Amino acid sequence: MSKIYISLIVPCVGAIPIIVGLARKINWNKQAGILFFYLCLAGLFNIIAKVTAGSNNLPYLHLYTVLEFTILCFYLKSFSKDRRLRLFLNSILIGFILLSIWYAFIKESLFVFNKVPRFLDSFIISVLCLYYLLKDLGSSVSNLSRFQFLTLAGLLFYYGSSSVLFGLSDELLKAPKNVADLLWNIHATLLLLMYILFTFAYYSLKTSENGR
Amino acid sequence: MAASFWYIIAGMGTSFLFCSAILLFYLKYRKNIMQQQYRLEIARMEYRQKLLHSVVEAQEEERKRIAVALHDDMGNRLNILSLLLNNPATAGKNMPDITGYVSDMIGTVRSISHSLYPVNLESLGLILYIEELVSLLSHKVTVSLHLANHYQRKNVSTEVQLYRIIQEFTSNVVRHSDAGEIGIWIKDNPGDMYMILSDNGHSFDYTTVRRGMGLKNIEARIKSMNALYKWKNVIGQGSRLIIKIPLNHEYTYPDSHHR
Repeated sequence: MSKIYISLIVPCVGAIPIIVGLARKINWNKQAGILFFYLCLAGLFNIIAKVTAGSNNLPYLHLYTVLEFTILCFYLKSFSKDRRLRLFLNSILIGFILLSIWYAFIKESLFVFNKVPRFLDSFIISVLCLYYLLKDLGSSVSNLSRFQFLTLAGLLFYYGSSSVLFGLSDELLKAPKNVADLLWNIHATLLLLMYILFTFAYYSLKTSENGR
Repeated sequence: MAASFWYIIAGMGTSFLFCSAILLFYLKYRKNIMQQQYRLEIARMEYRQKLLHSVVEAQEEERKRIAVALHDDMGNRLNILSLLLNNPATAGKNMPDITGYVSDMIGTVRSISHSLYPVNLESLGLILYIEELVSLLSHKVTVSLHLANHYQRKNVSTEVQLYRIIQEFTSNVVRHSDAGEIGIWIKDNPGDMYMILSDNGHSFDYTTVRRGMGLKNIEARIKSMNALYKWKNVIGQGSRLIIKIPLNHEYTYPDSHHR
């Protein structure tokens, strides 16, 4: 049952925001496009993980982490027009890519869990989501559209809650199967929650002003 | 492993609760702001409606006054004139009376015309017009006009509004406050202009009198110029109205200020 939930139900739910996103393609803005690309990438790597399930497929996770962070960094960068913040995010992105390469090829190996880049990836994304939400509270009129709020909420729930799990993920490899399964089930549930929020975010694009 | 497991569970649980709390706080805060803005918008709409209502009331009052002046004064004089002209017994004998009546009627028509719109203000300018008003009131109350700096002519609509405010203020003072003196101070600065109107009468309680037409008229005219104003009233000692008029109409007017 647990296996079906993680490997079938959650990935299938991941297809729903893609379908709703395609249905609302006429109302897309730049952000909707970037997020759609992220969902497609997640779907693609899910398929790769299924196909390569018998062997050590952790190199794909290394690659996925870098691509995921790059796309989400671009997505979150599009929230701000502040030149300094955008420059800062570019620096973080370059730093993160370099760190991931160093971690995969020098510090550790492509065939071990990339707990440090994965933790940093989720932590930085959570902090950025928090930053944009709290920044929006400072203005009397909300500058976030419904699409933006729902996607930030989804990212915050998933990455914010999973940071600890990613940081200690190599511990799970040594853990008893039932313990590891429980934690990956929780992780899958958070992912499911993010996909549901993304679905609502794309659905909110039906109005003329991109969900605003 | 057991310890790590519990660390992960506790960490994930705490992070999840923290994120939920942040999002709930965000939603609650936004909802509160929206409710506040909604209430503010409702208050603004109500205020606009009241303002519109007071303008309409003021217009009706003005029309009534003109109608009464025309009917009671001009109508009576014209009737008498008609009697004098049509009475064969007095024909040609009452020329001085007729001339007097015609002269009075001219004065009345001029007065009505003057109250409708200060026709000559455009050519004479505000200060001369105020001086004329001062001389008209001189038999009822002592009015002093003080000018600080050299007054620069403003556009006609601003001068008309200023004149109307002075007219309304002085008329209210004469009718209600039992004052012996009225002061008009005008200070013209490069970016704005101050006008202070004061009297030494028994003053009034702003909250009670606020509903009256006179104050509504004055405040509606001040706000139409986007000016700021403040009432300073001391019961038994007099009242003072301070107005700051932006010369480029840049202020956004707040609610009325009074003490």
